[in-house]
Amino acid sequence: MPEEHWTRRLFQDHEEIFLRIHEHGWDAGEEQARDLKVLFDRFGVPAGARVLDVPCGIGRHSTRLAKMGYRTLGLDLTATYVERAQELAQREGVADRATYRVGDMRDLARSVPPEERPFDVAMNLWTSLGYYGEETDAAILRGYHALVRPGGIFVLFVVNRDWVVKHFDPQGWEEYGDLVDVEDRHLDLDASWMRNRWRFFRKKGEDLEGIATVPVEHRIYSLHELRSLLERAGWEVAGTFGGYKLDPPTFDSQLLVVGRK
Amino acid sequence: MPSGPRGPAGEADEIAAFLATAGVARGARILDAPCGIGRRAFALAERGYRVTAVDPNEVAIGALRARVPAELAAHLEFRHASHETLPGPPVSDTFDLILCLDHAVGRGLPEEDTAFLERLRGHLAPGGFLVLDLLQRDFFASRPRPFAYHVVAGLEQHEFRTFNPITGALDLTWKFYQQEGKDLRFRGSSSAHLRLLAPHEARQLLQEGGWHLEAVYGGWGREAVSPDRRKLILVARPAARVK
Repeated sequence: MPEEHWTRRLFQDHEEIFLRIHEHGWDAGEEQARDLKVLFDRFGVPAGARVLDVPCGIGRHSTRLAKMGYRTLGLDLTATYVERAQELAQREGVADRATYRVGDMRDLARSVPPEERPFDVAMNLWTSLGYYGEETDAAILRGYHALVRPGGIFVLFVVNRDWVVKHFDPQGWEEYGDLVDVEDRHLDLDASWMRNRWRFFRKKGEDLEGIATVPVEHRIYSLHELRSLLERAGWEVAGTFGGYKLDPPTFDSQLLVVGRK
Repeated sequence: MPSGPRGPAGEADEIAAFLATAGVARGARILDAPCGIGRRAFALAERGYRVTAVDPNEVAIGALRARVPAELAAHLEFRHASHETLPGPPVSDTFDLILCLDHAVGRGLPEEDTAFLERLRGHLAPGGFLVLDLLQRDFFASRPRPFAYHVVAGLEQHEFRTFNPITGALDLTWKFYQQEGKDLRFRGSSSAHLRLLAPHEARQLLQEGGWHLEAVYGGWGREAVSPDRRKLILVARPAARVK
């Protein structure tokens, strides 16, 4: 039997772990959403536009965008995250404008019925690409393309391969409240894949109680590769940036790429 | 498992190879000060060197003495000396090689380092030299790695690092855990505050302590010094004239 894909293990078998990480990132979404509005304005996205956010997690961007008047649809593979996103949208008073459903970015055609299309904007944020390899990525990007109106845009935010190479650190420690993640990282230069192993622990006094060990592996791209990947999927690259602040991309920045249909 | 190339066994081999290339013959007298928990002292004695290992940690020295096997007893001696007197009496003892490993300077005041280096000079036999192994400032300044861990015999050591570019100091905190299945049982912690030196600063420190820097490498394999190498291996001989 083939080994279970790591996304299933991390986001479904151990969905409670990544829920904690999503919750931890909720606050940061506030400013990122404001930055996204600046980006939307710059690329001529009209007020009240329709935004597709896949994968959406607990909706840290979409719920904020809904508060700014956009109408958003967020899809995520994990039902728990979708339920939490609905709860938070309710709490923020935008449940009528921010919709959340279970859906797979590899199967957008089936996840979004014709009557909900087209969108003015599609987004894939927080390094949610590369999980299934380059061919699948091209298909995923075509999937967003099919759901956006001509003239609409696509926003992609991912880790920068050049940053990883320049700043590579083979081990890491992350803390999310009492959740601890001890990371082993391997940079497979031949394939341009990150091959990580994340060991999760719960702090118990000074001890660390093991919860799970999960591989996290994904293709990493340099900017020129993202450009050709987007173009293969039918997007015209309309802007390349180093992050949400729309600074220029560098070897020390993340990557935010805007495509136009 | 990433116990990695910095594991103790590998390093002793690297040091032995370095010494062999430097022409330090088996049977040579080596002073290892401070010797810490004696990992390199044992390894070098096993390779035929005559090692005297000194450390201010009296408890460790007592334990190490008890661990010296009979077949090494003629080759390996552990001694205690206070930090202020390291490497300690007798002054008449001289060595073909003095090893100062694991960033033995930069832990206290600069004048203490100078005094330590001056005392070492008195323990060098004619033709002998000094080898210092330091962490390199430029590596930690340009490649901040806030966390690293390694595992030795089921003991997992987590290392948290903060480098302050204003003071040039590296603060290290270690937490030690016993691996028990998936769990890590806390066993203790320790910390260190190290002043790091760039190559030119190391040269100056040696000079102030009466030594002439003869060669500097980026590692035991005589790699070139570069900000990508975490170590400085310094080879020094007594300066012609003590200042």
